[in-house]
Amino acid sequence: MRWKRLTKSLFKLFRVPGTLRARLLWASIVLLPILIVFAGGALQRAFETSLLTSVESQARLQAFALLGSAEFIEQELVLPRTLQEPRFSQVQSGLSALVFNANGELKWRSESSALVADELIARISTIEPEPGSSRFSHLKSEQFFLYLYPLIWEIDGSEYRYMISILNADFDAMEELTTFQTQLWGWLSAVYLLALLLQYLILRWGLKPLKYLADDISRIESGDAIDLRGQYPGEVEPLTRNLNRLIDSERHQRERYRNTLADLAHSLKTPLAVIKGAASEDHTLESYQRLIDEQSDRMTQIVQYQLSRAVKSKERPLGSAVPVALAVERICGALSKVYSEKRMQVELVALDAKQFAGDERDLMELLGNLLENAFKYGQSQVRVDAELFEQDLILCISDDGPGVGTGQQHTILERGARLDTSTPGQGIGLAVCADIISSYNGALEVRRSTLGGAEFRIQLPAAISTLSPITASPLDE
Amino acid sequence: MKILIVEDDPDLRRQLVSSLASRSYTVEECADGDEAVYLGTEYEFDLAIVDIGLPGRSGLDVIRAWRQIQRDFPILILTARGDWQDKVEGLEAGADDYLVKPFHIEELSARVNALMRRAAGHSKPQMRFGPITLDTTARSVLLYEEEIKLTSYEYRTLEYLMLHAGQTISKAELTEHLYHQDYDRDSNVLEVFIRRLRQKLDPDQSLNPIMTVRGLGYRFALEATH
Repeated sequence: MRWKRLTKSLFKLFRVPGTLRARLLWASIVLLPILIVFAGGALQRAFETSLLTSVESQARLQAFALLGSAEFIEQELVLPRTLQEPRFSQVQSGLSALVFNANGELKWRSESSALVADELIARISTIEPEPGSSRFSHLKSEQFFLYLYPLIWEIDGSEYRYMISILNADFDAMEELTTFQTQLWGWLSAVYLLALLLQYLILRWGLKPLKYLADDISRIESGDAIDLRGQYPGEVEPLTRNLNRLIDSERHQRERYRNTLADLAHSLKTPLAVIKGAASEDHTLESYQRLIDEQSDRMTQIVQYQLSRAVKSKERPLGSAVPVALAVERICGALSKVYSEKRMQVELVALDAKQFAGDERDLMELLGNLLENAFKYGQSQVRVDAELFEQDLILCISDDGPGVGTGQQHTILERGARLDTSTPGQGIGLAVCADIISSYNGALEVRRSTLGGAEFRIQLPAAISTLSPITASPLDE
Repeated sequence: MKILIVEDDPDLRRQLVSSLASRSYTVEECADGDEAVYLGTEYEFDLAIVDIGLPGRSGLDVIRAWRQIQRDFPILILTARGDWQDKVEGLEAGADDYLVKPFHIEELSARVNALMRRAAGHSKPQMRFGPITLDTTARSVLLYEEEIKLTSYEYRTLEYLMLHAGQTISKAELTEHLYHQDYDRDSNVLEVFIRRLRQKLDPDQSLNPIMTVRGLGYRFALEATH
């Protein structure tokens, strides 16, 4: 329970604010101290070690100096009253020396040792380090560094054991350490603040393109610009490029809707006018009924045509490859059912691995309308064959029906052909096909098929994904 | 011939029902998918007209449910969108033909006729059985090329028997396909129709087109001539 509450409060503490800059700053505020504490700790430790080493080596030198001035007289170690090191003679120098014999008896003490407590002397006398190995320690409660140096004096075959101990007050060293610590943490805190400040500035500078981007977008919103014009760094550029594309396609879409609506409204006006006008003409009930019927048929066609235009996508979706064989097989399967009486022979030639680069719905509409015609007018045979020509997919749909008259055997593709300009009675299927094909910059041709009927030859962009990888088109084109 | 109409729009449904009923079809109607599945499962139909865009359980779902339990009556789907994705999906689900809204009732009637004929294995709207010709488009019967006047029920009875020529049809099956489900099924009425048909089709009793199979029902005994 407590653990849960702890993690919860931790989460609350680390709940990250919303902006990118604040997130990064927040991370630094939290993580930098950890880094700094580690670094500071290591530095402090290193300094302490080196300080102790230097104190120890000083003590060793003093022990050796003491030993150098010692003489052995009548089986006793004798030291002069005054030594080279003046601090041994000053009571408050903090440095004192004691010499014990093997039994722990104090044989000699420096003049400076007058203030050393007897208790401490007694304690030191009991310490017995290994012969030949010195010992250094920090007596924190007594505020002394203690250096013990055991020695054996061999004279005339006899061994005399002594122990030299150097006591050094730790006051200086501790003060040095404290000063170092104060300075160290002071500087590290300064580094921390400086680092945060620097990071803030770096972030401000580094994230500036995003601010420009936001400004750019709000300019588009307010209608002052139509796309993102600014120069953006490499990481942001894909975003702005895609945004521009999105904005562009959205604009086109809007335009298309507007056009479709306008087309729809305009093309409905004519039949409405005819109906309206009929009221003031002399009509029998029968002729009036026929007129209404004709005009409502016309309106139905118009609505259907505009609907199918609205369904199909004008923009080519990126990288979508639609297998042609699947769509053809599905539609032929469905149509074989509808025209089951005709027992049509369907021949599919080389459709495998042919892919259309575009929207699946568009392909379905296109093939649906053309294949339905083939099934409707054909006697007994329908053939679909596909081939690739450079970047294009050529699909031929032929039947053995009556075919299309010579007068109509020309390219019937007209950009943006409108239904109300086409002849009445003609199905909307071909108009829809022509529209879809033109949106892919393709082509539609009608000619006589080798089967005897009509052959619709359509040219569409092919997706050749298996042969070459899709490469991004250069932007400066 | 009994037709089930599944259409959620009340106006269009009323239109469909009245125009098909006036063409001598027996019509059942419903407005939602679940009821449609129930009706198609529990009752015999000769054809169903299903709107793809039903609220709730879709028309496609209804068709799949029927086909799954081997209901093989022909199905005509109605679609408002009219795009090929819709049509192909409907036909793949088990429908036999489609019609895009809005349509003329004549067009619908022609499709219904064609589907019924197809289901009975005939490819032309006129079916000849010796001297008797059944015209499913004109909904008339000719004897030696002369039209016989038939009432709507007489025509229905004869059409059903002729479309199932050679098969013995029980009285129950005939009643089921000729009348509404809530109709008072009195087999005497059927016998009256059969007797009248025999009189009209075979006044000199030389053809004997409708045979009584004792204890089982009736059979149209003439063979189709092509």
